[in-house]
Amino acid sequence: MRARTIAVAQPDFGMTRLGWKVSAVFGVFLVLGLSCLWLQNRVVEVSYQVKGLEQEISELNPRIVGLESELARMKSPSAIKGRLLDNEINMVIPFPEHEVHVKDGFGITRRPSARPRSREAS
Amino acid sequence: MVGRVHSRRSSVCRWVFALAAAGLLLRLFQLQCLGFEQWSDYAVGQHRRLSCLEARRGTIRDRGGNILSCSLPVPSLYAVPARISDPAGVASILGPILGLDVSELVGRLKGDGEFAWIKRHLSEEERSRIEELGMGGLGFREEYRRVYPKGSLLANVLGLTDVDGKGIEGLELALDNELRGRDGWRMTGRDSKLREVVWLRDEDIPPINGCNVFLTVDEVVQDLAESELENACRRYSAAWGVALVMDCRTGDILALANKPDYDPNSYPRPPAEIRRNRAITDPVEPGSTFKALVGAAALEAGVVEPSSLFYCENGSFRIGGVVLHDSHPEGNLTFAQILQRSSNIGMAKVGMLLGNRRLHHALRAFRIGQKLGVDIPGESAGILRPVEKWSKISLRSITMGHEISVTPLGLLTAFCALGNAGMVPRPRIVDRVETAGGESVRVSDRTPLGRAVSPETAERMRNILRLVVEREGTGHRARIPGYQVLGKTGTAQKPGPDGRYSHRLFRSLFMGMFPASEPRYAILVMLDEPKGSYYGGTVAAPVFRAIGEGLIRHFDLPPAEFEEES
Repeated sequence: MRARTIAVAQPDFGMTRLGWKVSAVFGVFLVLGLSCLWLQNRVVEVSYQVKGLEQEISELNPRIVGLESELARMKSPSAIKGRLLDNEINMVIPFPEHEVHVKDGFGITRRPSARPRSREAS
Repeated sequence: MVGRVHSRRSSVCRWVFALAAAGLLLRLFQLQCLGFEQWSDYAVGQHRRLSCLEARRGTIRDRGGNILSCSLPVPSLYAVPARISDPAGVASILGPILGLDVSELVGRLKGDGEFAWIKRHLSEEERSRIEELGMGGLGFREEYRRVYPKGSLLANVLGLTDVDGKGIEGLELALDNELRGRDGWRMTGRDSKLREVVWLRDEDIPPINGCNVFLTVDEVVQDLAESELENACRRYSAAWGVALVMDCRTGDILALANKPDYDPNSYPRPPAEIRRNRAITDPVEPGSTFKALVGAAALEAGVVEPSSLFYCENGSFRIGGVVLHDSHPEGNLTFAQILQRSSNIGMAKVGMLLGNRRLHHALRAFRIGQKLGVDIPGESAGILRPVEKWSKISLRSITMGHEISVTPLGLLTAFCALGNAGMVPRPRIVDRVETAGGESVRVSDRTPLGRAVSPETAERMRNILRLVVEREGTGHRARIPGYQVLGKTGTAQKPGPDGRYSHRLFRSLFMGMFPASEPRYAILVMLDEPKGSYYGGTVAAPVFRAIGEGLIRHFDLPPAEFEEES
């Protein structure tokens, strides 16, 4: 018995080489595009980080300004006088005759005495 | 057979995919090319935002760099009415928290608007409570609020700003252009969650913060002047008071105190009468303090010498149909004694020797009746009428400090000429202006305004005015033991309701300087309508002494015997 050769139609891969080239190009563009997307995503993430740091700095500025203002208030003469009173430190302004002025050469002189007045830190 | 079926199916599939691809390409062409501008604008509108970057207003500081006024960042609440579905409900919740009228708030929340202020400059507590509510349609914007850390110190000079941070009074108004700065802006992109994407920033113009202004005022001296002035005003129930401290060589204003005053941090604002800076806005008749300037003019003209003798008519002198009186009857007095005891009759006779024209010319040289150009708005020039309009009695009135008006600053500035070798100093309250980065923008002019008298006349006048503070002088209560002081008292009658000079309403003044040999600090104290006592030597001179002693401690000034040896 002779073997019969059945011819099976081969798929038409007449475009095989061109198809692989197109697929390759397509693949390259796909990779490039995905890379681009990934990079863009990373840039956006970094942008958020930068924005976060800017936010931290901008939140520090009001605190600094506020502290400067509070320091100015604490240093004001009326605030200092108030704290002296609150803490009952009872500092008094010296009478003129209590003041001693030391000259160069360590000679000492006193101011002429004035009529004593009672003065307390107000 | 099988092959033909396969071939047909794959052909159909290819055509279907080809058609689909063609459709996609067509749609892509339609969107990307034909509708490019429309969709591009839509995307920009969704993602792009123009943000204003507010500049911070500059600070005002004293000569030592201590902050007198500055701007603090505070949140302000706004609403987007288009996103609020229940205005009445939202208003009923916000109103009690913010202290606002609910019905008025409802009106602001209604409508399709994109922006409406709810309340400016919230406190941190109010902000926290609003944030906890988590309501939609509301947002916070960071603004700046002007604060004055020293409270009422120098309030009448510093002035005020409005809610938008614009100067409306005082130095805040006069220096608004330099303090304000320039806002920046930024064009940026946002993502779908409205977060800013930094790399999408197109334009980024940073704000230029306002310049910092440094004054000549010393906060310690200012506090000293305000305290002593307040004590005196309270003791004598004065209507108002002014105290000025100047460096007579440079014209620097070290203190400018007004009473009554106010705290600019508090709301509501007090009436304008309280906020006035009377030292420069209110010209007054200076009374006998003016004799110091008239006397200097007479010395300069050479019509008198310190030892020239005048008969003071025993306290009553009829001239031009009017009777002049002295507070104490005097007989013969030297020119020096006329000033020491403040004799009106003696001074009138000196004035007659001087004459109208020479007196008028001398007063103009002292800058009387002229603005001084100080950096504070509202300065008054005072009144010195042209000599052609003087009446027969004008001369004698002006020698006593009446029929003429001058601001407290103008009076002290003229007086400083006697301590500055006869040169009238240019009064300065602004020392310099610097950028936020510390670079100099401008320094105030220090050149004197002009010469009033010669240095010799100034020195002779100083020697005479030292006698005022001696035991027999009217200003002996201004004496500071151990220090050489010179000065002049003044007790000016005020016009009553009928327009005639009253015997009950007075203004008490004392102006002086020290150390007498080389004066540095000049002080003027003025109290209006003191009750009980009203003489300048009784009411104002002790205030001068208290301020002077404070200056001595603050600047550690050596006593007179040290000066003589140096």
